[in-house]
Amino acid sequence: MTSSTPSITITPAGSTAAHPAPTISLSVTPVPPVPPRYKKPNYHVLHALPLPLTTTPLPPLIPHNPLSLLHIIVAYLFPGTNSHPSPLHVGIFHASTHAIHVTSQDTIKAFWNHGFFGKGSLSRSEPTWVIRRRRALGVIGLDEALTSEEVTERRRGERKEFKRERARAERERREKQLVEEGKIVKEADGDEGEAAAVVVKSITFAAVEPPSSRRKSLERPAVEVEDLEHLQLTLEEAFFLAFGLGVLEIKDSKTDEKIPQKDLLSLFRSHSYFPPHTSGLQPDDPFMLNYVVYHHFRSLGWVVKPGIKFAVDYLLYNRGPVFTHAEFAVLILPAYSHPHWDSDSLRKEGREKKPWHWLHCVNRVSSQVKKTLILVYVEIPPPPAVECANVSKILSRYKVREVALRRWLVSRNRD
Amino acid sequence: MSAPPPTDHSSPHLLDLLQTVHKNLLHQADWSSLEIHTSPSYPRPLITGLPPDPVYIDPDSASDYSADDRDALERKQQEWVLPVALREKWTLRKWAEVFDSLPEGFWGLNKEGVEKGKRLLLAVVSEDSTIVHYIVHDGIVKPRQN
Repeated sequence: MTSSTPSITITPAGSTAAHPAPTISLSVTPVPPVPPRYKKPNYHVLHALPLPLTTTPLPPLIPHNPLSLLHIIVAYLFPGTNSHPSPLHVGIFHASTHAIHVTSQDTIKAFWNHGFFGKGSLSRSEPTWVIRRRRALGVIGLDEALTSEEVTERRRGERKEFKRERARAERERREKQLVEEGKIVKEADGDEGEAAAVVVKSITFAAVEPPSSRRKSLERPAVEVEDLEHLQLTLEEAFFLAFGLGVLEIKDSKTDEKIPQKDLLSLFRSHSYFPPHTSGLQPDDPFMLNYVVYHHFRSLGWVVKPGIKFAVDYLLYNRGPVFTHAEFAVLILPAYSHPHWDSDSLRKEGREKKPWHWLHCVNRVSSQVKKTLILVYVEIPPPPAVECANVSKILSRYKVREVALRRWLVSRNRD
Repeated sequence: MSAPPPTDHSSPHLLDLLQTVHKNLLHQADWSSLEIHTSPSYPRPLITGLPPDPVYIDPDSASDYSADDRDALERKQQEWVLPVALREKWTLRKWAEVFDSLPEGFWGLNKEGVEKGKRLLLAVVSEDSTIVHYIVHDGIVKPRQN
């Protein structure tokens, strides 16, 4: 940092210069060491693609140039680049976690960077466990490539320190007040000792040293850290990538063989129960309900993430979690309006009806974290509708209705 | 609807759940001295371990000690962890059974010299590998002062 150093040249007093050196008393405040800045990645470039697909726009149509039409036709019929990766991305279905694990780094990057699919199994969202591990072992620097978990941890640490300091100051102030009022008599030596300790504490400076030299002097152990983390896709995410987009091929963890597309739906439906159901799949399986809603919002361009931490089913991000906080919280509710369910009191009474205080609870939690609650009603078709093998046909039988909810306060909305 | 099979302490799906929580505590939450308990004396597989920071501070001891002492006091406390799945149907009976199987006097004495009540950490595993933890006490405890 050169901007804060005073731009006055002072010749040293003991120099051999003919002119007597002017005596200037100058108090220079020590320049605090500037921590090395590591640039954040440019998220707008990194996450430019909304889905893990490559799209190429058609050439423009120029009305007075008939050749441009020919150009469009050629580009349409013989696309230069394939929109889908070849070979397809591979995920492994694990019955132990009821999820799909992805370990290939290329696939993890493709799914996370383009559409924010999945979650690192040992991280908060993006798989960053290996970075934190390497930092703990001293392989990378203290401030190099900070992960979101570490940023939060530092902020909390600072906050804790501040609170501790504030409590200490408060206690001292109270004691001083009491001493002044003569209510308590403090031992003189103890008081002095504490005061001295405070003084010593306040003049401790960090060594001024350019960060580059410090980094060089620190010998880094060359340890190879094995990455124990995988990207975990929920059943809904995996089904969307496999069926909806067709970019994912799912293999079974036990046989290591590809699971055919037609078997995926029933496999995922049976694993949406804990423990998994082997028979008796219903049109209102947790998987069917979730997938219908997941597909609905994904196809409208939202980034959909599980919302268990906020007591809801899904969170909707406008572009992705790295850009903004989730604006909406989605709660899935099955609706049994079809005449088939009229006699089914277990569903009509037990699953459809919810008490008012339940709604109030969920809404309070959502508004606390500044999210608008959206109730998504999924119309459940009768069982025969989901018996056929055509997945698109099954999904077309479900209908989705949304209701956005906000608490309205009379006194705050008077004008 | 088919009835779910009876939950046994050694069912494979419960052991899978145990593995998931164990791996998470070891590698993400930095717990130490982790131990797995799968003996038939427990209704479900359980984990004990030492958290890096105290997970619960007794409000009785909190008022007596300064912040640093308090941390040191609670640091050595082992915790019991109960892995459950988000999609599983949970009942009060299951909780009571787990509490009954936990050893007495594991959490030391309080200020009055009476044994502290039992407590455990409920680790709720969701499909996207998020684990949500809740502290559960066997009975009513004094509320924490904010």
